[in-house]
Amino acid sequence: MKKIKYIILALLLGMLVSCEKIFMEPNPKTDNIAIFEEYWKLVNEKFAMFDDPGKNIDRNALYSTTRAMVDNSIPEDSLFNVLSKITVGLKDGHSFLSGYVSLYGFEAYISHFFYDNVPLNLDQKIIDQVYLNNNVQTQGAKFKYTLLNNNTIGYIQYRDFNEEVTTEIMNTILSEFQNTNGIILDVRGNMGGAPSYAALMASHFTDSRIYIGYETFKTGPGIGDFSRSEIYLNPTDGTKYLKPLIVLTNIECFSATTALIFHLNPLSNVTFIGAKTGGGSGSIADGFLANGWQWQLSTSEFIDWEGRHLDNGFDPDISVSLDILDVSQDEIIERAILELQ
Amino acid sequence: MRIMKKFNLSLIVIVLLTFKGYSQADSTKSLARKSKIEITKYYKKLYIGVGGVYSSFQDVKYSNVRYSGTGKHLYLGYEKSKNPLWGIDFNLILSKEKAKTYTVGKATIYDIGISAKYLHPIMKNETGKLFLGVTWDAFDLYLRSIEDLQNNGSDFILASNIKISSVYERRISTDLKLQAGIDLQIFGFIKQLNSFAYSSPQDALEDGKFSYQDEKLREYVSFKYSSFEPLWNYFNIGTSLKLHYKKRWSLAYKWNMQRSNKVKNYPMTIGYNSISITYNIINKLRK
Repeated sequence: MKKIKYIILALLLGMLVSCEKIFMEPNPKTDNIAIFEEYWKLVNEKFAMFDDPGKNIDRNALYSTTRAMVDNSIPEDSLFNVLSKITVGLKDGHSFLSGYVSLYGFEAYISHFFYDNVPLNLDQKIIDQVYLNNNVQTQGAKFKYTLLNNNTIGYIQYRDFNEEVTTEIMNTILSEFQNTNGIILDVRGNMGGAPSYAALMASHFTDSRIYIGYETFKTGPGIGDFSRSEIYLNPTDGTKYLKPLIVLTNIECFSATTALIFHLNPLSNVTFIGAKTGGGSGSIADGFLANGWQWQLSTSEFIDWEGRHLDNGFDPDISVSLDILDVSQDEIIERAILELQ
Repeated sequence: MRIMKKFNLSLIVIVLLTFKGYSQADSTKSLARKSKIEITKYYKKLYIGVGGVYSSFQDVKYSNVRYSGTGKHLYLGYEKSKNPLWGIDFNLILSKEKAKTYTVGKATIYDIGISAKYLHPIMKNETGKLFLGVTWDAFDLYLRSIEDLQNNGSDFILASNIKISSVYERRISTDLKLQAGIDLQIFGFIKQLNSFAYSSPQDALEDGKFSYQDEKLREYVSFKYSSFEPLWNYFNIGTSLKLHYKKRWSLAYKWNMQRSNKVKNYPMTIGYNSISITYNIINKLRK
């Protein structure tokens, strides 16, 4: 009797071994239809910009037209192409799909390439030869800065928000520019990185708390499952620069650079000069489909203080294009200098 | 829900059997037979343990694919039993996991915890003791890093939990003692990084508290944006079975499962199974 009791006890304890598995969902299937449905479920539940008026996406049509192209007999590359149609149909530079490897070892990547066939309005050689040829200083990995126009204007170049922005870096640069009439902040070509760096950078150009807009986050699977966070720009405790600031933009200003723009835009001392930006105002989530393909989606959208959706780009206050035939100057920088004189 | 009921039933049966076994051992007949292997009445010990762990997770918010793998388990603790049983434990788990259905995106898991327990004997005789009390996971941090991902490449659960605990000690022979334990979380003060669709706590987003300038949203050492979670939102259960050999050594099997239901119908489940050897650096015994 006693042995039976211990056997039962051991069996019951044994039931607890790896018992977490009984709470888990079964592993998903990896056939074509299962992968398609998995991706669509992610898009349908997580993508936050179906209602963006600038995108004009027909959710139901996107599903029905693509679903009709899939069955379990189509080859893997065809499935990738169908899923790519969904991805491109979102008209969002942050959303991508990758991971299909062809017979030749080429890994496919698909997104909405917002910058295709759009003038870049940036020639780094001209900047290096004309504006950064003398007394250039650096901070961090990506900051370059110098004084222009007989030391009356500060010029800061920052091309990558993946590289750290700290209060110390900003303090150092802005301390050098305290006696200038204004600063040109050149973020053309900056495709993004950490938006928190953008907010930190912006915090050095205000001395008061400013409402900049709101961000809607997808917080559940339902179509209307959004939350709303009112976003403010809080001033730094470090060095502040409250004189005129001109931010130079182009089509490659994307993602975290859009975050910089929407943090700075409400400030009265800030002007934007250049070309329309790439947008990318949403925060992103990413993961893997059950077959290992990688996805990324925008799961929030920022609406600025004037009610504008910025995901499809931001129009500068003063539009200026680069004259690619004239390598003696950067017309966008020249216009900024003119504005600050 | 049915699985949950079945599971709870199993736990109740285990506890009842333990009680029943205890009362049977309490008979006069068995007392005489077991007088030579009576339970130690008082001990205090400092121990260190090392072992292997089999770990797994599934986060339905992002995929139904299960991850699992193996790793190391290290722990250090102090335990004292006079009348009440109390102790403190430091636990460290390092594990590498991979997905069941694809080869990319390998995960690295870190789990660090400091806990304290206080249990009171509710039944005892010459060969066994049953304790009931409370365990406080003062700090329990689960960190996961997945290769190749950006925003969802990291996730963490920072928790401070209160659990009901029960330990049953039984002397099997003069050299062997069995110790079985169970911990069931009642509530926790919990912060989880990844919400339904973004790498910020779900409550912070639902309450409209997102800010680009608030680093504490993503800090795993800050309890800001933590929330009190009851059993049904955050389920955490652990069992342990230890076989002590003489004064210095013991062999332990531990199982722990955590299940977050913060986003309804999109749970995250984490499991550990570890087998370890414990060495008592200090073990003072008195009968």
